[in-house]
Amino acid sequence: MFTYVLNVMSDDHPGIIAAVTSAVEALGGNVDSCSQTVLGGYFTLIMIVSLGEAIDPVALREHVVRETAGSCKIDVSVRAVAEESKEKEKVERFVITAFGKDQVGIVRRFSEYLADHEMNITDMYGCRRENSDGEMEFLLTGQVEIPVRWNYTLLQCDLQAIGDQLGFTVRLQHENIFMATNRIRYRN
Amino acid sequence: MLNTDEILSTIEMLHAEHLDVRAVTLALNVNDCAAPTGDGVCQKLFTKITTFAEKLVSTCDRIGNKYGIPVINKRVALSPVSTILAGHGRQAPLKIARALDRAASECGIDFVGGFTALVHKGITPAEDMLIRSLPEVLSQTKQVCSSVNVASRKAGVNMNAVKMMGGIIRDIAFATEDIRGFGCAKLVVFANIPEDSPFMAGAYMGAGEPEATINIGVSGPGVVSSALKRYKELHHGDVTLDQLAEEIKITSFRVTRAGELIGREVARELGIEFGIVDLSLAPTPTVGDSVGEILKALGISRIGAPGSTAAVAMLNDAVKKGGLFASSSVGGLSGAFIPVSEDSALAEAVESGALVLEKLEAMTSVCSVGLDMIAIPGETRPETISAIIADEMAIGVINNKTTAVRIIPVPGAKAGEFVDFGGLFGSTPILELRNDGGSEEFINYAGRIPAPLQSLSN
Repeated sequence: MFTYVLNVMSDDHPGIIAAVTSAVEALGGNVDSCSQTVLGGYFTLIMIVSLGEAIDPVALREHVVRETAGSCKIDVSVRAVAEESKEKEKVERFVITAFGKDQVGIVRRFSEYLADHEMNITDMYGCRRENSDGEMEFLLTGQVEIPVRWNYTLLQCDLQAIGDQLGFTVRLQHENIFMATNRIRYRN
Repeated sequence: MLNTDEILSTIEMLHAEHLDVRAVTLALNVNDCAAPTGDGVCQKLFTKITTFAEKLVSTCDRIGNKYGIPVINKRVALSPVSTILAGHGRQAPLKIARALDRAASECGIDFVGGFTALVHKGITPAEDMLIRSLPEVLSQTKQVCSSVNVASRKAGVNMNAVKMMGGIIRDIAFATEDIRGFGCAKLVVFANIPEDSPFMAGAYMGAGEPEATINIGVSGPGVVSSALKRYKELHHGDVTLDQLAEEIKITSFRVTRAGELIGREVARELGIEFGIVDLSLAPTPTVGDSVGEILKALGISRIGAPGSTAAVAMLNDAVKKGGLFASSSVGGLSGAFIPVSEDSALAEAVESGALVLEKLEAMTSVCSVGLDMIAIPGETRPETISAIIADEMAIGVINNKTTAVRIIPVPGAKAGEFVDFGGLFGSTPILELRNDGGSEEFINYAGRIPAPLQSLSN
């Protein structure tokens, strides 16, 4: 089998997933996994698809755009999935939350710090919202993989220091506390 | 993958609503510390406690930090010290208590419990010696906590012990007159004492437990009252009591899970068996961290008004149900505490005259402990203190539940005056005691109130 990753972006409206999966199926392709979200009225979809025969990623992209043109106008990018060769470093999963007065550079400051320490962000959400005092604030939550070689207490100190500079409250907590308090099935 | 709502609701619970792990208690069997001399007992006790608890504080702090939940108190609860006192002379109790104090300081823990006597059916010479030493011990040590079990479902109420405890409590109060009788806050008189409770002053390690266990006490009245307020707001006040009970249950589930997570990891790191998690809504004087506030959220605007007992009953039951579903290792007391001085809303209700001793007693028949952190006039007769204990013990024995009395006669103080114990122990007006002296003859009969009909369950 030959595996490809498809990324689709569009204005949000009904029928996008039906059109894209129909185009993939027309090539005999199977959807291995997919994830979709809507943010600010925009639709994004990421899919891993398997095909019986190899196809040039550019040709696959053009096929999907052409086949869906009748029902939606989408931006598509495609890549062939590479075999993972490198052994992954052992990590633990943590959740970072930060909130404070909205300003330019919040996501950059925190993501730069995480990148600098080789911490991978696996999920992130950020939004402007009104806090309990009626002021607009920016809220950022991220789920990150932290290599076990790092001392999380020191990382907490660093993040707190960044938060202090920005006037933000920042917390870094192991994900198990969120799993334990939210999921019925949970094994410690 | 966690979703944002899950993350935010947990963050809210941990950081805005005062959720903490109230106590990580290392329970330790010290029967092997028996020795021919008092000094030998002290040496063994000090060595055993400091060996087992050496890393308790640092481990709790590190793991609390990892999950973002502070562990407020770290404690040690021993198997009854009266056992290793047997055969020793009258100097031994104070000597041993001082050794416990030194061990607690060495490990950086705040209290060591288990200066305990189980006398529900009768009193051994060692237990008699331990009880009589309490005024001296509790006035000359700082971190030693004591408990005396004077009643049980199977044995009835040992009224000889009840009579004795009235005088002992009065003597402790006067021995600690300089700190307004505070020594009495380190003593709990029980019926059906739990063998695995992590909460002081009543924590001790019961028979049938392993060599050492880690027991966790989680609290969170602030989390429960916030959850109730949020739920009512969301539904514009159009809610029923069963819906509010459900909300308490869900919140209790989440709080218990947080405690169990910390407890199991602390136990694993220390190489000690995990015991139980005890979800007890234990208030602190911090505004908002109050069981009284929960009662207000349930619609009791004046705590002590008719309906208060029913509201506490519903709260206590829902807390237990949520905890039981969250973990198979729930134990201890698990319910709602109503310690007056430690709960700002309850202390306020006493001050306004809405909450009186008799109503508190009624509420204890449906909540998890008993008359707790109650200040009474210093001149109260010992027989009246004994009678208050007897009433509370009867509630426990007949209803097959734990009940307790932690009562503080404040020397020189009269009803209505204010007393401040400081820190987490809070402040409270002195409760008015009606009918002081009206039960002297009853108490002086002593003897035993036989076990109730319900005790013959085999």
